[in-house]
Amino acid sequence: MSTREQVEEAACPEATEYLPWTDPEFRRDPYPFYARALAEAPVLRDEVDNGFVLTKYEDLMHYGRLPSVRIAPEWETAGAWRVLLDMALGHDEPHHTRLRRQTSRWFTPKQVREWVRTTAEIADRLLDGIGDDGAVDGSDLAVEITHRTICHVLQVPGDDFDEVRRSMRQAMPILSARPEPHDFEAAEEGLADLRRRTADLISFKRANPGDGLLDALLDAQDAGEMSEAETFATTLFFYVVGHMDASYLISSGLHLFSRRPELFEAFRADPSAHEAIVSELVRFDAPEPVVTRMTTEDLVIRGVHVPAGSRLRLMLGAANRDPDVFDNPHEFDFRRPAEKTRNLTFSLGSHGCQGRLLAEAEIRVTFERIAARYSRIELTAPPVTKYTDASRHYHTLPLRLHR
Amino acid sequence: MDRITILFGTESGNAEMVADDLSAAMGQGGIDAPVVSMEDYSVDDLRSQDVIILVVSTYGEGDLPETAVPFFQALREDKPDLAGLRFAAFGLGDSTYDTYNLGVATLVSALTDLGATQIGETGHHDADSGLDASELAVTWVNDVLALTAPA
Repeated sequence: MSTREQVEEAACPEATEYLPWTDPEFRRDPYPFYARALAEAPVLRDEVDNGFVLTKYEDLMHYGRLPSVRIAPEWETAGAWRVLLDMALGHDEPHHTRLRRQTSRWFTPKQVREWVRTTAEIADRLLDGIGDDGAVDGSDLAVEITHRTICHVLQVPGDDFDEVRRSMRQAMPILSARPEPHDFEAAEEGLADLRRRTADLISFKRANPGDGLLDALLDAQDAGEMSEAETFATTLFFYVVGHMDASYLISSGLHLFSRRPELFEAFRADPSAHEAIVSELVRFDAPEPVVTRMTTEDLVIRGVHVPAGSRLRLMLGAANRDPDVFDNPHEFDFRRPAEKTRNLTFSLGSHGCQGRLLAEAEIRVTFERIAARYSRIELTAPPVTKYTDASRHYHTLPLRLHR
Repeated sequence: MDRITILFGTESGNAEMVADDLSAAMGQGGIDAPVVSMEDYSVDDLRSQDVIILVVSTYGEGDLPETAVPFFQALREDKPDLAGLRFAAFGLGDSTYDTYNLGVATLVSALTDLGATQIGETGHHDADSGLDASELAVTWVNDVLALTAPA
């Protein structure tokens, strides 16, 4: 081995030495692991994954947005999620922009203000149903609120939140860096159910036309601006994605408020801090701490040669705690200076989450409706959680809300 | 100056939000400031205006956002004489891109090439700053409006 090769090897250790993808402790709390990678080995090699792992905020912002770094090849390898090849998130340019523009005007700041009126109504109705003992499952609440909100946007029935949640739990683990054979089967099963439900929504919409998002997608299909497959994939994505991100973050925030009552008090006391508290929550606990891309040209990243055709595993959750960007990155501090609050939880560049504003507003409004009635959130039993290296899920979050 | 049209060009709706907030702030100062999307605006109407305000973002690799494209193309094709028009311009961008605020620069050039006169400096919001775009824009517009006030 030449000296040069030794240097390269030293600069780029094997990923699992730092990020043991399948270790339950890593999956539960990856942040100490990310911190060590950030400090010692910001570029990692993962031979099993045919790629490299990046953790630095600066590297994600640069390499994650290079035009030569593509998204489409990634969905080819994502098992049943390859259905997303037919929507904006599955395409590079120019089709990405064509498809993204079919939905962009539904998630503008102005529209979102409108949508979360419904979120507030749903939250109030669900809170009305809580008994005098204040007992409620926070994760059930989160799922129903976010599901019914997006169904209102799509203008479709919103009663199937529990079934969709079950299928999403089956479908997500495949996105791990080390998916198991049964994860592929579970994803096929989960997506088969979600596809059936999506087909039902489209049939419903054809029979019950209105002026919702799904009506606009079907109009675009009828006008030849979107293919049938594109309309289908776009509908499926918007129907289910809130279960993963907005819903998880509501649960995560309620859980945090139960552990740190002073944060809930701060939320109640200061409406001007609501957005900052939500933004810090989003930074603090990314529901999907990683996105992947494929290189199409040779790159040299921090002295490491990355050949064309490599997978880049961009660790959003790690970048959110990069000490070069965030002072005291492991502190939940909603009073960070404005220029030091930009997190990558909702991904970055042209594929940044189109529903981000809606998700953040749903989280804020849910907390506001709870804060209007209750002064303290108590955890009554340990929550049941399921974590992989790529997605985080609350299965239960038993709470008691105190007036 | 009792009526100033605000034209916005947007991709994700942020420029629309800023335009609405500018309009509300100007309304409090007694200025009627209707907000119109560039995609719904005929460039012929520019010749009958004294002052307009543009609010526009940048999309992708320095491109104009979706709703500004037809407006820009119409300017290039129709080449209206805008010698009587004054305008102010505010851009929304992200300084982590090399193409920071190219969208607004493209429209400023297009209008000045047709004879229009820019009032004050182009305002810029940087998404990387964490600052509120509307607050920044309202401060900016007050400075610009001071320049249009009769001496």
